[in-house]
Amino acid sequence: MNAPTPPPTADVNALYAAYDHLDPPIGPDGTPCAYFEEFRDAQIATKQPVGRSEKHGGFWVVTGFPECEQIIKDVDGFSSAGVIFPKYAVTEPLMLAEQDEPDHMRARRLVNVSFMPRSVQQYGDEMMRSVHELMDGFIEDGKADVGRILADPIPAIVTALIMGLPAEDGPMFDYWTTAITHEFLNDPKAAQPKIEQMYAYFDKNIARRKIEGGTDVLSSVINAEVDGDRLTHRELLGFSTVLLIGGIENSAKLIGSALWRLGWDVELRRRLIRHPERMATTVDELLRYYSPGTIGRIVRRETTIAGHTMKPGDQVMLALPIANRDPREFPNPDAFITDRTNNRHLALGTGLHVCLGGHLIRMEARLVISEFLKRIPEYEIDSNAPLKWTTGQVGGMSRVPIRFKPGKPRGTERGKGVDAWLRHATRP
Amino acid sequence: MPKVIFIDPEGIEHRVDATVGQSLMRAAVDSQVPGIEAMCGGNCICATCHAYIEDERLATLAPPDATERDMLECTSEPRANSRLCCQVPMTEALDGLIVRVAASQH
Ligand code: HEM
Ligand code: FES
Repeated sequence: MNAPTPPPTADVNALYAAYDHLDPPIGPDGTPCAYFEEFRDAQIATKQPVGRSEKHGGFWVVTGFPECEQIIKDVDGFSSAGVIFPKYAVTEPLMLAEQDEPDHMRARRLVNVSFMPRSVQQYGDEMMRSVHELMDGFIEDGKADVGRILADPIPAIVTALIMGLPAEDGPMFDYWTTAITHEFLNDPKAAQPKIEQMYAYFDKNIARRKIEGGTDVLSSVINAEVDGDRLTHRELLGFSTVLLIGGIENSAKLIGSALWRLGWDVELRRRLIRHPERMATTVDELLRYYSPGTIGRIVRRETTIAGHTMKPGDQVMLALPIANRDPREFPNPDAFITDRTNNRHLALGTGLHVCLGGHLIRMEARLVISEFLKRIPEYEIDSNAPLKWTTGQVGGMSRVPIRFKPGKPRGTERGKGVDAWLRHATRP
Repeated sequence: MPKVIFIDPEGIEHRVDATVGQSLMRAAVDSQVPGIEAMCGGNCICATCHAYIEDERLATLAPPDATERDMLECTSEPRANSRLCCQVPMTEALDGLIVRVAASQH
């Protein structure tokens, strides 16, 4: 048999030219995974891990793993001011994610300890309770859209929890983040008042914490001091916003994609039930495979990568879902391997800006998946109801209709956060 | 060249060459010792290079600074001999040091 002919360079250039991280083509399985694989194949065959997109006024696209890693780690050569592209409609600069050194490290040190494993473990019980209350809401029905009724609410409830805010405000966080990350692109006028409402909300809550104190992340960040240094009120607003933007949508998409995959991949699901000790590596494999986010940078120092010279001021997008399928880093990259070793995926970034919520999302995803499978070990994707992959700078399964044998509620009293969500999610 | 013996979470020993002045984290990563993720690349912000140092030689190391101490306390299983490997530079005197990688970095 002949070896497959590599795609001509013209094809890979066409792929780069048409690349739009906000709108990847969706394949017959309902995901852009086949497109990511095709792009990766072309990139590898032609040895062109970098190219030029003509979308959004033109930008560099980096699809190779080592090239993405090199750029992320080169914080002097590439500025984080370009992390979001095109920019979100927020008036305050995004704390941490959009900051460069030395401002970034100063702020990161002030918030870092609040997100360490021990610090986030204290929210485990409350998280578990919310998962079960949400499941009680649909377990008797034998069907549910677990995208809207589990994957969406949990990250918003958890964000409220860690910030010491009322869990019933969760749906509002969802409403604001959607305005910031999606709506402003099509309808900036409609999005603006929602964004102002969000700032007013945090303004009020920060002011209250300053007087009353508390044990939550927001309070500890307000009081955190490194070398006599503290965050200003404006920075605290920026920090609240970045927790909403950075924490909720990404996490919801990861959990949605996971529940979808486990819905049809019966073998994977049963393997995971039989081998709960593989949950940790499975979550990292889910992160690699369904990498929800794409990140950008702005060139600061002229840099040549893979024969392309990037000039100061140029926008660069790092196609993390493609880089995470690079065979130069991941043996057998299209296989989903529950116990993959040395899985250095970039789904949570790397280097100085590595995801602040990395420990939190790992614990959250493990907990949601394992508790879900304890009560619904057998289920299938309901082909009569709409499945939806939401695209954008953050992408993933957002509608995951499933069918299963009805079960019994645990009968725990329903918390206000869950109650608010059930009303929110069952709205037409 | 001094050597470090890393014991990974599965209990497997890795005898690794380390250059003097290099951090224990760098030596582990260069030899792909499982369990040392070192996401932040040695900047003492990710705590994914957590390990336990053999007791006999613990006291010979320069003690952790305040930032490292705060982070160590909040790792999933802190112990008296916990260190972040990126904050421990290799010396000739540390030849043969035994370092147990923490069971989980998360
Ligand atoms: C599946 C879920 C998540 C994904 C895929 C994700 C992805 C990422 C990525 C790729 C970065 C690096 C950005 C860069 O280098 O420019 C990042 C940074 C960040 N993430 Fe996450 N994240 C997730 C969950 C969370 C959660 C739950 C929180 C908050 C509680 C959070 C807060 C942040 C913050 C504040 C940063 C900026 C850190 C810095 O610049 O120092 N993320 N995240
Ligand atoms: S490598 Fe991140 S703290 Fe050591």
